[in-house]
Amino acid sequence: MLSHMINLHNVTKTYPPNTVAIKNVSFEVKPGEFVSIVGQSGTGKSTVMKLLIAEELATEGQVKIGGWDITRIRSAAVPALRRQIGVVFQDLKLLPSMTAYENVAFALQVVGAPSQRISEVVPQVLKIVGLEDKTDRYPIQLSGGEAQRVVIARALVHRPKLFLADEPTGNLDTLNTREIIDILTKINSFGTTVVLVTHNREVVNQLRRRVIAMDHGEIISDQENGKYTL
Amino acid sequence: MFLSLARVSKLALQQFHRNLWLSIATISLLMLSLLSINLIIVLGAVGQAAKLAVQDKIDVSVYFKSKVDNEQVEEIRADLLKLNEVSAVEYIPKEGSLARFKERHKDDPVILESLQELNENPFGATLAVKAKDSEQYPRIIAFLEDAKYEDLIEEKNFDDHEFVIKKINALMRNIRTFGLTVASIFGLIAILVVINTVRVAVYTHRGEIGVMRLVGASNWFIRGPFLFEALIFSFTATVLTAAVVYLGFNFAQPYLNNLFEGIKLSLTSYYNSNAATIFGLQFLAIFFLTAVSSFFAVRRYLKV
Repeated sequence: MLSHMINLHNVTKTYPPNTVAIKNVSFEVKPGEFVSIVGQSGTGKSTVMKLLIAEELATEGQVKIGGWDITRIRSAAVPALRRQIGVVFQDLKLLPSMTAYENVAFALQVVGAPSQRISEVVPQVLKIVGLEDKTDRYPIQLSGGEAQRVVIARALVHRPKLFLADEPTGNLDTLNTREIIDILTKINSFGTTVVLVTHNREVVNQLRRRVIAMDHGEIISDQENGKYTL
Repeated sequence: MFLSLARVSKLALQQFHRNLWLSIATISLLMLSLLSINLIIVLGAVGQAAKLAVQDKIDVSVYFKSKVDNEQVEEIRADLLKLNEVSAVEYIPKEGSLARFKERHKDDPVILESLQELNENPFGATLAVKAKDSEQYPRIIAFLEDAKYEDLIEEKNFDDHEFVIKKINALMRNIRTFGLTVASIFGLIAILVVINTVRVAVYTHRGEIGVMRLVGASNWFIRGPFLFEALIFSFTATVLTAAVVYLGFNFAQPYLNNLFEGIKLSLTSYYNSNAATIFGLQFLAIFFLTAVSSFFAVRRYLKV
């Protein structure tokens, strides 16, 4: 049994010439946990996310995902890492020329999944996010909340063990925010580890899960059943 | 493997179709580059044909002294034919030289009478020597200036042709230099055009590349559609260029026939006999260029 899904040990990320994005950050996340990373803009939350998907490499320290040391991961190994992680960003990154179904299926096609599996899995995940009746809509024909749910569906098709969401409710109203958080909670209930990066106080306080607070690139608090206290 | 190839091909065709105008623009620019290269090839072929035609009209005539008998001249002819530079040696015996002289001056009774008064054939045999290339005449002349031939040869008329030959050689060298310079400039322009066109094509797909990276597509799966697209662009551009070139030949041939009266020059035949090499190399060059350009253009977006 894996003891930690995420393990960051004394991680520092410096951008040239000398901008320190995060400094000596250490935390662990157990499999099946739901963790929120909170903080104001520019406190290093997104840098942590980028390190977890190897979009950036740590300047110092050690980063492990599911026991795999990705601190100095080779470029060729990055796809294998990302197939095990579901990622959701605020800016969606949906392909406008593809329907909701095609956007989700695309994630499986590019990793060589058989067509039969694609036609089984894609409707399932679209049903989980409540879009089973809007599969043939293009992103432009969907509301902000619906488009974000397509992104979540796309991140789920690989059946990832780890689900990362960077400000997934940033552009959404209260109702849509509530729906997205409900979906994330549902995903977590299936046993998937969820890391949510947000600066939405209301969301964090309603979740009542573990909260890691960051400020000026450092962790200032780490609480079980925490609240947004900044 | 087969599934990935099929999906890569499908993605490439989708990219081609969804950005049809960009695809058409890319192919057009590739065609313009290829047409420029073909223009240089045609100019080279026309220049070469003109050079051969002029060369064909030039020879070096070696006039032997009248005391030299035909057997000696035949021996020298055999020696000349052994030279690598020599393509043909025409032998005109003493009698032939006399007959030629009479024919040339048939309208001049004074000369013909003087000839009769001599009571003997004053002409020696003549050898008309043709070189394989006009640049090689000086070497043939050097061979004939050997001491052992000095007493046998009355005159060599190379001096008459030397000026013309030098002019032709200089002209051909200039044409070759000009052709190479123009081809280099066109080639450089073609390379820059192709690189930038591919960069624009890749730029329009940066969204797809970002999503592919995010969901764990391998680098080769991301590069695949662009390589396949480069293959489609290169193949289409080469085929269309070949069509335009042959259409152009049909149009230009009557004008070329008028321009080079007496010279047999069929561009269609020239291309037909070299089509596989000409268009094969052009296809490979343009595919290599587009593939390498896309490799570097995509690499920029793979860093995410």
